[in-house]
Amino acid sequence: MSNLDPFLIKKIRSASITSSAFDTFDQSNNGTCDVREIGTVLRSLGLNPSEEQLKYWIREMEEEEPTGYIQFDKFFKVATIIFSTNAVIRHDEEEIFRAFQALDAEKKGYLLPDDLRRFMLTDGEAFSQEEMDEMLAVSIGRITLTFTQACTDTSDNRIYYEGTDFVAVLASNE
Amino acid sequence: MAATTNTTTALSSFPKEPPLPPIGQSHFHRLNSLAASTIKSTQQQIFPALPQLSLAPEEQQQQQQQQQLQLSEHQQTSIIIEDVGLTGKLVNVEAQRVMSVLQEAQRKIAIIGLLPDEVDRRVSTVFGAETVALIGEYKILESKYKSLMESKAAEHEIKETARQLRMSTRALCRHFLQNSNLISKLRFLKSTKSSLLQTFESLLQEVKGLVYERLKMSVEEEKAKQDQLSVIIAKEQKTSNDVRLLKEELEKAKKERNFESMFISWLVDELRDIKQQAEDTTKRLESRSKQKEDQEMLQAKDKETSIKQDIERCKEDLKEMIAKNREEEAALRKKKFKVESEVENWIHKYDQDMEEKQGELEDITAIYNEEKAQLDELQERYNDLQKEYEKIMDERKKQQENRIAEEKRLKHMHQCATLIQAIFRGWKLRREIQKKKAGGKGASKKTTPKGETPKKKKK
Repeated sequence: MSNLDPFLIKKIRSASITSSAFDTFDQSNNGTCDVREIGTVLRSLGLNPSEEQLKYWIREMEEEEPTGYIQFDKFFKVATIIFSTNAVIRHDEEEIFRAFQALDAEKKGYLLPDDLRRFMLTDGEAFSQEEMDEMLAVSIGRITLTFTQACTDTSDNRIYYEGTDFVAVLASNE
Repeated sequence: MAATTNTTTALSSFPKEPPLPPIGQSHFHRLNSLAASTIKSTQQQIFPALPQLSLAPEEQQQQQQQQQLQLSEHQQTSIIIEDVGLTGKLVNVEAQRVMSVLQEAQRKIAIIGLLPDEVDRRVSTVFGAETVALIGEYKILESKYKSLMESKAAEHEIKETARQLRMSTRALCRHFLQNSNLISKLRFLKSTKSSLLQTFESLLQEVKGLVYERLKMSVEEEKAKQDQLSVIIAKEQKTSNDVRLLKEELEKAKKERNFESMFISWLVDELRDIKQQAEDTTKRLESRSKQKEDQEMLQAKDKETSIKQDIERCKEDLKEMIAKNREEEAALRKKKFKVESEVENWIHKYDQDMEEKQGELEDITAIYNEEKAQLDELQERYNDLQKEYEKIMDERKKQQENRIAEEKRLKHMHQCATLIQAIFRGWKLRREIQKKKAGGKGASKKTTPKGETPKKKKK
């Protein structure tokens, strides 16, 4: 991994973070973790993997005979690979904006909540009802965001993805 | 040659003239020398055996002078010389003396001539002992001189003998002249004179006459004469010279003429020869050409006959060929006629056929046109259908494209949705963790990302 010098510091840091994150979910404290927790661990590390990617990585981490638990060193190896390849580490505002734009066929600059719901529930790795509700709540400000200044205009019931509004909310967190 | 003869004649003619001594010489001497020379010449010619006469001039002169003196004293005794009076006519003393000398010499010669041939008894009886001795001595010397001359003895011997002889002669003559009676005695002994002596005496006489003639003339006359003579001689010489030159010229001209005539004769000969040759050649050529001509005539005749035969034969051939060709022509004409009629038939048939075919063709053309019209109609219809078909095909293609684009869009939307969902899930989880951290360390819940229910917490 010598060709990844620029990420050396990051790697070291991530390792510590990883171990701490791992520790967080290592409830039996035997250096293993439940397979179902891996997604949470990776997401907590700032990654935004899709379900498909997640499945692929878990398959890499698992032993030859699936036990339902993942060894830390295995997890660490794959995590280093993931970070070093820089595949899904982050998604900046631009990327997110583009994705929303793609959904906005008429380039209006905003999406109607029904449209968003339809997309999120039918396309891709469909959201559950709860997830969908939450997302809509965030986007249209039915709920008050604690640390974002979501600028969705509640009055006209539109989700404005342009500018810094919703996209910025999604991209800002660590 | 002519020149030499000329000169010789000139020279030979010259001595006939008396010699011309230089003028300054004394008359006497000149005359004397003249006399001596004449005597000498005659003596040499006639008396080669009498050298006593060729005495030295001075000696002779003295002797003669003495004798002359004696002679003048004894004129009565002179028998031979009757012309003594000649001297009297001479004016010059010297001339007179010369004449007297000549007379003396004549006398002495007469005495010598009278000497007896032999000294025999008769002589001795007539003359005294002294005289006999002198005569005897003379005779001996004479015979001796003669023998010496004949035998061609040494010169000095001859001279010596001659001198002795001269002495003896002189003595003898003196003796006889002193004693004039002895001369008569001599005449008595010898009456006849030898022929040689007679001629000598006559010549001497002649000389004497000539000398007298000369002495009679004066010096001036002589000189004038001599001048005249010299002039004449010069003239003569000149003329002779001219003559010589002319003769030479003549000779030359003659030679040239000879040469020319020779050349002409040679040319004439040549001309004649050439003529002869030409004639010969002409004859030969004529004969040869005639022969050739005859031969050629013969040959030509032969050729002519052969050619005539050829012509005959050719004519026959020609006739034959004409006949043959006529026959052939007739046959060919027949054939041609036949062929022509055939051709006509064929043409007729062809025309008929053509008419038939034309009809057929017209029928077919009509059918063709009909069908063509049909085809056009169908073609039009086909074109319409084709257009329609193309339109449909375009539409279909467009639809297909649209579908693909739609699918692509849907896929993209799906991907975008996935992304948004993933991001949202990550964001939500992290927000919850942060909330937990913020809210102290509460009891952590066991939640699956999927099964997680959104929590609505308020600050």
